Amino acid sequence: MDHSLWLEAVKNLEGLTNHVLPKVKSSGEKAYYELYTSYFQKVTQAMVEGKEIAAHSTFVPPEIFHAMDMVPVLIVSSSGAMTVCTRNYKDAMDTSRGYGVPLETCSAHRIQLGHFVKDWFPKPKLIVHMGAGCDAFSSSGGVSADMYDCPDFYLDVPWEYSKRGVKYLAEEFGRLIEFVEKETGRKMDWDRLKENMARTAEMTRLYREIAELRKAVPSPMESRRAWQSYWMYWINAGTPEGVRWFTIVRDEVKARVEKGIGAIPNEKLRLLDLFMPPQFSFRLQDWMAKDYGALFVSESIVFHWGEEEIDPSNPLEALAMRYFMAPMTRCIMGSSKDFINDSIKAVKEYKVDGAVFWAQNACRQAGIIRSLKDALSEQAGIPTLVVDCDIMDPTFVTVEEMQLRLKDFIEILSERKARRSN
Amino acid sequence: MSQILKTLTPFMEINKEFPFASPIKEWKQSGGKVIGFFGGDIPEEILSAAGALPVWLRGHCSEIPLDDANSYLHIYTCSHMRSILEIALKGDYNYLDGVMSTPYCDGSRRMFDVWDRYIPIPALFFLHTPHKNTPEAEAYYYENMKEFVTSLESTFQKKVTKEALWDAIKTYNQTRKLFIQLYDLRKKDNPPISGAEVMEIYDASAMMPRKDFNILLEKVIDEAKTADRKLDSGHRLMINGTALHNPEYVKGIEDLGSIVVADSLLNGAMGFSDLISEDENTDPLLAITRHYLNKFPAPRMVPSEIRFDKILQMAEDFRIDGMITGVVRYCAPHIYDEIRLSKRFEARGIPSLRLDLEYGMAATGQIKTRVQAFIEMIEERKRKG
Repeated sequence: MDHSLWLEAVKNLEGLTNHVLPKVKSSGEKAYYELYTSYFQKVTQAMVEGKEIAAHSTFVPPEIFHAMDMVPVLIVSSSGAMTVCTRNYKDAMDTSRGYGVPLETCSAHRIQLGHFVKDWFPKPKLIVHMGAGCDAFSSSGGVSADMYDCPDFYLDVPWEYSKRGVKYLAEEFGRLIEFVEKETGRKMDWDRLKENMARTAEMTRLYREIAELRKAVPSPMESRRAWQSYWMYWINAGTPEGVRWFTIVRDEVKARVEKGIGAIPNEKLRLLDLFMPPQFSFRLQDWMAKDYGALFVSESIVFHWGEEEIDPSNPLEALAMRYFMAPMTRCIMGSSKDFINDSIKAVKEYKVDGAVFWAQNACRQAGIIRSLKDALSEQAGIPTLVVDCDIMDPTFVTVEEMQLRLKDFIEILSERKARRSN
Repeated sequence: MSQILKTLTPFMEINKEFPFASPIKEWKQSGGKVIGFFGGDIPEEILSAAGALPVWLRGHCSEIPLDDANSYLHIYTCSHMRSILEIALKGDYNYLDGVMSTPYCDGSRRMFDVWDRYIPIPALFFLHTPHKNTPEAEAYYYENMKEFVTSLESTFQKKVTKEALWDAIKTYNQTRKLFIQLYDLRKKDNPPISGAEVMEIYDASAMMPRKDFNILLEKVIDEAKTADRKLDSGHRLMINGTALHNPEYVKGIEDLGSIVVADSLLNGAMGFSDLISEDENTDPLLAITRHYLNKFPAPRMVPSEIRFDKILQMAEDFRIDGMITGVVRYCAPHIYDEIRLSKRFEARGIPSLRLDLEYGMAATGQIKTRVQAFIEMIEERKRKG
């Protein structure tokens, strides 16, 4: 194993955090840097101490691993984060290309596989992947397991929410626990899992409360905080750190709403984010807010929760229910109707002026663009901009190119808004 | 190559009439319903038992402009799905009384959404197929099947009886048995039928009533057995990858000094290798459920080793010299499947080649060059022993 890149990335992340923390005013931003760094420090500590690591794809519940005293680590986003922290985009992507991964699959998964080819990713005891998200999520975990020659478990997920689907998924979580028990000799601590699920329910409640608070004008939350919240939710699901994060953000947002303060000083345009923006930098969102007063006030795939509640007393069903109610799985799995209807509803509730769809290179979820765009135009009366970009490759479309597209759109929206108010 | 098998002519005639071939027209004229489907793992037996003609939708066997489809389904969706959509948007699938799909892949499920929103169709059916074959998955899938049958019955006002299901199972099993016979002939040193010709048969099978198809296929097998036709085998290849329909693609490969003797295609061996249980003491719907969960798995199914073992066994049974995987661009399930499968082929000493394709392509230009180099490599390996 070659841990040098991981260690370098964590060191860089710690350095960044130490550099940024004294300057940060927002308690949310401060907590983000602390908690994000702490997540990777825990994995590093596990590597050093030889603790068993469970590598898992997004949407696989870390609550299970915590309850079994394992250290969970997200596969795709952690390898992506390590690449961002070390700027080794080219090396990681060239490596996966050399292994036979073509360019026609998303760069997040190409980077993941590059890390596995080079043995950069921490050696896990097992890998758990899931048929959620997309075909690449379904398949790349198996390739990684092949490379590391470690046992893997595939969590099957139903097509869309139904009582039958909840039962089936709960059974799948039960099978996952059996798998982990068999592979590690550990036993599930069911009381601990229930405690974890109680925290998850609390995190979800806070998340939903924040979503409600964001309906205020001016919007009380920065665009980047929405995405930070989403990742914090998944890396800290069921933990005290997760509850801490959402409490801090809720308190900050609530205080702003009560005082009538916006996240940015001069909010002019309220935007709806329809899909994942490039994850290598939030510079774009900062620039839009700072230079044009254009703020994303809601995000379809990370802030639109389903309505059903999570009952921690039945932890497996609670995990299944959370899966179906969580924004991203709700949007990108199943029929596109929920995605479209939630977005239309958001335009009205959040008083949105325009929407942006980030068409990520090689992402088949782009198949929904036309339907969303037409629905938002016909049923919500707002225009949608489609920005071609890449989730992890900063060279595919530069920030400057994206800025040009966004600038034109902002101008159109501003004129449109001015016409309407006259 | 020897003269073409005469019994193939009806299939080739039907294929020329794509997408609204005579057997479909005749079925419609007699008042029958037609249900088109895309994706994979569609239990055609149930559609047939409901009195409908199942038609496996595909695109043209050529690269056509996909301007209309591109405006509805982003280009990151594979050109296989967009080719079907192009035909639908032009109205050439207007004869359909219903469309069905499964969450086979991202492309097929988003295509279903687009069809639902933009293309008028009397009925839409969606069946969720699990990705694994555990007892829980079987129970879940069985309930989904029952729900699907109920929705078919209510749409077409026709009861799907056990008798009709058994009849359909037997008919479709007969097709499977015939294909097994046909493939056994391909195991010979000098097979009597080429891979391109087999592709013609598959293409026609998707556009005609199954009982009629079985009669024609039986004739092909009889002729292939008796005509003393021995094709110069050259190097024995297997093809794999995204569902392919253009016989010219296969012919192009074969023209370079090889013969395609086997495949692991969704519209090929994956569909016929395993029979549905005909034990009439069981519930026919349960038999169908079990079949579709346990048959030759597509890349979407786990554990992947079951699929890989099946393919490697075929490679051994058909004594193949090399594997060519055609991956239509952006077909993620096959992209990842190929990465893992090719490593397993390598370990067995069998070379493999991945071709990045657009749907409908024939083996031309760059593809030919790459295949030619691949065949030269096989020759070299054989020469070195």
